[in-house]
Amino acid sequence: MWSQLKNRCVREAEWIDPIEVADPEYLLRLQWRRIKRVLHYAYDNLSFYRERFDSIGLHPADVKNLDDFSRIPLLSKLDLIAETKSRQSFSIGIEAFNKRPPFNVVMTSGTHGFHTFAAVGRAELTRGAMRAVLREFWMQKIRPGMSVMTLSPAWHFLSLLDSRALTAIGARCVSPFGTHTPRFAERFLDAVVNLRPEYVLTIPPVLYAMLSVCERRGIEPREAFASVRYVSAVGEAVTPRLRQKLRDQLGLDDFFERGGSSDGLWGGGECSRHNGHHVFADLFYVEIVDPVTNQRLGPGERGTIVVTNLVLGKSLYIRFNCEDLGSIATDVCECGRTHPRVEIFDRLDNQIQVNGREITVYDIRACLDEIDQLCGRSFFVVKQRNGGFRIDVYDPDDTLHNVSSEARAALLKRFGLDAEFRGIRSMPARWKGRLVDERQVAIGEGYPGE
Amino acid sequence: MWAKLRRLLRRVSQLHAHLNNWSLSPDNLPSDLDSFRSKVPVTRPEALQTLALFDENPKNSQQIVKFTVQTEHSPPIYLGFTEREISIYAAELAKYWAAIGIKRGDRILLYDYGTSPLVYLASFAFTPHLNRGAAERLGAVAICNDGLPELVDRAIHVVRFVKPRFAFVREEVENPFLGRLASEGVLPDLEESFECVVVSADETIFLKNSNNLPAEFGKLQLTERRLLRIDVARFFALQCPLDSRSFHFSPDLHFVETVDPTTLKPLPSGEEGAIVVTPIFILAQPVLRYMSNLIGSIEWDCCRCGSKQPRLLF
Repeated sequence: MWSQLKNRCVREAEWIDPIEVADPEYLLRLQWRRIKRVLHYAYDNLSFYRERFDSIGLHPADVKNLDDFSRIPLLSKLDLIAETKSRQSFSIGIEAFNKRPPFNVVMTSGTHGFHTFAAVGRAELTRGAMRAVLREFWMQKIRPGMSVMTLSPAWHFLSLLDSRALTAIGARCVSPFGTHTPRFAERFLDAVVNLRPEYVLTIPPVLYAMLSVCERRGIEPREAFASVRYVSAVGEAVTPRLRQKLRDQLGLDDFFERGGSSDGLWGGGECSRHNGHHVFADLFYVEIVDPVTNQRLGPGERGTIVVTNLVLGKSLYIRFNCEDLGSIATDVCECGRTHPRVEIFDRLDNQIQVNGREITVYDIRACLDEIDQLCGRSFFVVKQRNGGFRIDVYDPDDTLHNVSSEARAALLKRFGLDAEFRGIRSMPARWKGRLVDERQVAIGEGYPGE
Repeated sequence: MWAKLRRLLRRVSQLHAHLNNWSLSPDNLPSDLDSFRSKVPVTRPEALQTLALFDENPKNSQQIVKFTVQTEHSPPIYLGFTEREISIYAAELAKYWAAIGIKRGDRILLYDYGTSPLVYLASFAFTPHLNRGAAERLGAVAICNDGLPELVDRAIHVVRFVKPRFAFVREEVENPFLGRLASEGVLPDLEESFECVVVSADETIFLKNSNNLPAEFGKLQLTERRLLRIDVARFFALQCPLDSRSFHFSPDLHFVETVDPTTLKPLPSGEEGAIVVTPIFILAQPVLRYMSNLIGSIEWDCCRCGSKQPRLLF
């Protein structure tokens, strides 16, 4: 069945996997069947889940509907860290392989100062979540024979899926030397100029670094990216205004976002309507819960993203708290796809409280991007000792003073946030778009070598 | 060897006759190995930089994956592969992995960038259009950590929790990795598992041998090997376990010779000169007589380690 679909994918320019437009009621029934299978498999075969379920007196047979399922306690990254430390092994009893060895082991990004591991089976890369990426790429206009520049950090789950999905589509691939850090931006830009890919898969910080290289070399970005029709960026939310700016600046047909998490092994991408990330309901069950009460929230409400994998053959995450803030939309997208869409805003720990209201750094970004001179400009939010906040903006040309009062007024009006603005001439890459404590800034932590 | 080389030359002359770098045409092919060595000039990196834009040739549309050579060249050198070529290249790496002792079920840490041949040939999971990497060929599991020196903590983290038997590291991170390994408390747990560190670099010879491993390794019997690469020529050579100056290579897929580095005249076997390599399995973006920056000689006699493979002697 799948190989037939794959063949169609290669032949037909406007192919769409029939399940992408399936009846939402059917998808819900399918999800429920898969949830039950996953719960039973986990209880019968995976020591971690058996102990966990036993400790709360839960048997999969007790879970009779999605409401029961939503009462299962959330699995957190800290739970995984504790288990990894206790077993002194990457294998912690969540690997759903039917006792076969893993095909690959990937690492997560290391939030909480510890990299957890996820094991991946061969089927996951040939049939499982690879299908999600294949649909995502097709949705984002990658076509057979297209030349795609891909930066491949082979330690990351998404890169493995990307490799296999690009193979299945039949894209030609360009892989410049280096990894996903701005220090390799020169080489990446060289590859864009010399090898003229039509498509670039990247992360926003690397794209911004390539734009800086263009500026240093005195090249118009539109000229350097002349061959590039599409860019798809993963790992960081891009505001609508910034997307438009990048499209214009690079002369693109479209700019797409992808998102997800290597903790939880899930992800999704935007279609050309840019209405949120399509998360394929036959592979993942996504819930949004209140960060404090863990109660499930409805469509449009902002909360923590919780994911359950619906296929086996990899490390299995059941009600995993991704610690990302998002919202879900369950109506049918204008593109015709019926699967839910998730908007990912920011990390849970990257938000501040102002007048009893939670505001993410992404919200501040969206507000500042409305001001032309600040659109896309790097900044970080400093949490001051006195409880207030300051916005440190990258300002090499000393031009911030022209717009700082306008920006301050905009934040005050939109969020009631009265923040001072300060221009700075250098900025540690890992602080960009982050909430940083004033003490870290005072000692200059993160600056050397960046 | 000559038969294989002749086939390559014929294909190259048909596919790339418009490129006059090698002055080859179907009617003007060398008739034997000696005339190949005298007629075809050596290729330097500068010449390859102009070949980087091979896509201008519509006959080359079968190139489906391209990587950049890691060595600093400006402008950069790009290597294009067809599906068949990258598969053969991965099989070649698997041979060296097997020679080191990697077998079914082994876990291997790769402390290098995803765009290094050490990694992109390792697994079909890492590289588009590669159907079987070295790990799949041997039944091993390859785990990549990226090649940044500041990621040494994460590499040690992998050693501690994944317990690989082998680690392949890029030369740049060798010292931080071994230093951290020695100073970490991970070693007592690893006596049974961790066995060998293989250090690799492109066109670089570093003759430090395992005697230089830090003393703090204690009971851990860690050995260290070197895997020499000439990426432009898609070539590997593995350090002999008994003679750190010798690097064994498989002669099936490459024609290896030496030339006088000044006059560029071919030298007889055994004489020291610049190492020149022709990969005979690369057709889409062929490289004829690539002159590396390595100076050494080629020995064909049986090695005292028992290997019958020829070796480069530095």
